[in-house]
Amino acid sequence: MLDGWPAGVSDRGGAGSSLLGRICAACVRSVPVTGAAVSLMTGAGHRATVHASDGVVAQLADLDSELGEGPTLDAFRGRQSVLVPDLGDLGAGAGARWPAFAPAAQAAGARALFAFPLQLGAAELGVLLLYCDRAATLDAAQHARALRLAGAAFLALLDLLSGSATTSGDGDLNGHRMGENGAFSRAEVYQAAGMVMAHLGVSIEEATVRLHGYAFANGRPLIDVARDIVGRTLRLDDDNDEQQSGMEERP
Amino acid sequence: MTESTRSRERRLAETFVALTDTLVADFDVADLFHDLAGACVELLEVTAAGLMLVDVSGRLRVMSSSSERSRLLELMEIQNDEGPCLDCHREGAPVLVADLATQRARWPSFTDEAIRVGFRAVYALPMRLRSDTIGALNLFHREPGSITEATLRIGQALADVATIAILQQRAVDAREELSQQLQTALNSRVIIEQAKGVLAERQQTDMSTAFNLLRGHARSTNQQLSEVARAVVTGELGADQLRASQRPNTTPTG
Repeated sequence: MLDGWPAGVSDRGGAGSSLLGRICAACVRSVPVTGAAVSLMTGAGHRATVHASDGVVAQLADLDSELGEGPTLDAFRGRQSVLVPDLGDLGAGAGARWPAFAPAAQAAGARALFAFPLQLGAAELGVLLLYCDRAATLDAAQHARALRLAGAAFLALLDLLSGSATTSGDGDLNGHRMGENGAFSRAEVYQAAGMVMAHLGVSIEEATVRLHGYAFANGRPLIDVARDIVGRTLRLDDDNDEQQSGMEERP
Repeated sequence: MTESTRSRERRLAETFVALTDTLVADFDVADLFHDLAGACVELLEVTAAGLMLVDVSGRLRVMSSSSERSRLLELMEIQNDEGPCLDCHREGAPVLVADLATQRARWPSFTDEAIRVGFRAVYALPMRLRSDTIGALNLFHREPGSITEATLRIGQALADVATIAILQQRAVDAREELSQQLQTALNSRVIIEQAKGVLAERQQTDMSTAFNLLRGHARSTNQQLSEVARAVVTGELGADQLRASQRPNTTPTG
C-alpha cells in the first residue's frame, strides 16, 4: 500500500486535482448525484480527500476515518462498489452495518451513498464517493457512468502521485488519459508493474506510480517502458526513479 | 463415421462436461477464459483463438488468447479500431471471413497484419447476453476456408459458456450490474498479469513459467487463480511458498 506521501497530495489547486475536480463535476452532472469526492487511501488507513465537490461530501469522506466505519472504508477494504440507496433504512440496512456512520451521514445531509474503489488489478489508490440528498438507486446506465468516471479518477490520481499531471490542468477526461488507456489495457504494463514491485521491494501501488512516473519523466510511451522492463533491458532503480518521477519532491 | 470424427466428438463431450463442472463448482473466470481459448483451438481445429470483453468505456479488451500472435493481432485491432472482431461486437452478429485476402478494402491494416503473421481466415462470434453484446470469441485459421455449420455451432456454444461465466463469477454479487460484473472479470485478469510480473522477477523466469507457477499453486491448494495472484501481489504469499506447493507435472500452458 501507499505510505508516506499522501500529505503532499491534497494540493487542491494543482493540475491533477483540477482534473479530479472535473471528474467530480462530471459525476454530479452526468450520473447524476448531489456531490462527489475522491479520497486517496493507504493500507495503514491514512486518507486524504484530494477533491470534494461540496462541503457535505467533504464531511462524509472525513466521517469514515473519524468513525472507523462507512462506505468509503468498506469499498476500499472489500475492493468492490458499495451502494446504499437509502441511509434512512436504519434498522436492517445501513444502520445495522454502520451504527455510528449512518445517522451521522444523514445529519450531514446525505440520503443515498455510492462508493467505488479506484483500482487497477490489485493496485488500489483510493475511493470515489458519491452522495444524493434524497433516496436514490443507480440504474444500469448510471452505474456504468459511475464506473467509467471511477476509472478516470484512478488515472488522475496516478498522474498526481507520479508527478505527471498536466500542468495546464486542461486534461481531457476522454482524450488526454484515454489514449494512454489503450496502453493500460496491455498485459505488459501490468507485468512490468509486478516486476518493479518485486525488484524494488515496494507495494504494487507504488510500483505502478513509479512505472508511470518514469515513462512521463522520460517522455516515453508507457507501453514501450513496460516492454523494456519485461524484456529486462530496463530496470527502474531507486536513484533514477526517485529523481525522475519526482515522487519525493514534487515540483 | 470416421475415427477422427468420433474422437473429436468424444473430446467435445468431455470439454463440455468439464466446462459445466467448472461453472457449477467454484471457478475463476480468468482461468476459465484461458482454458476456453485453448479448448477452441483443439475442438474447432483452428490455428488460434482469443476472447475479448467490453469494458465500462465500451472498448474491447483482450481477456485471453491461445497464442502470442493472435493476442498481438487482437490488440492491434483494438488500437486501430478496425477489424472483424470489432465489427462482430458492434453488430452483435458473427463475422465470418473465409479469405482475408478478399477483405483488404474493408479492414486494410488488420488484413495486412493478419496475413503477415500467418492467418488467412477469421471467424468472430459474439458473446451475447439478452440485448447486450459483451464481447467476442475470435477464431483464426492459417488456411483460407469457410467454417462448417457444425463448427460454427460449437464455437457459438463455447462463446455462450464464456458469457454465462461472466454472470456466474463467485467474486460478484448476482444482483450486480453487468458493467460491474465485466469490470470484475477484467480486473481479475489484470491481477494475474501483475502477479506474473512479481514472480518472473523473483524467480528470474519468463511470464509463461510464472503463470504455470500461479496456476499450479491454485490447483494444488484448491484456490482460485485470481485469489492466489492477489496474495502474491499483496505479499501475503511468497514466491518460495508457491514453488514448494507446485505440483511436479503441471501442464505447460500459459
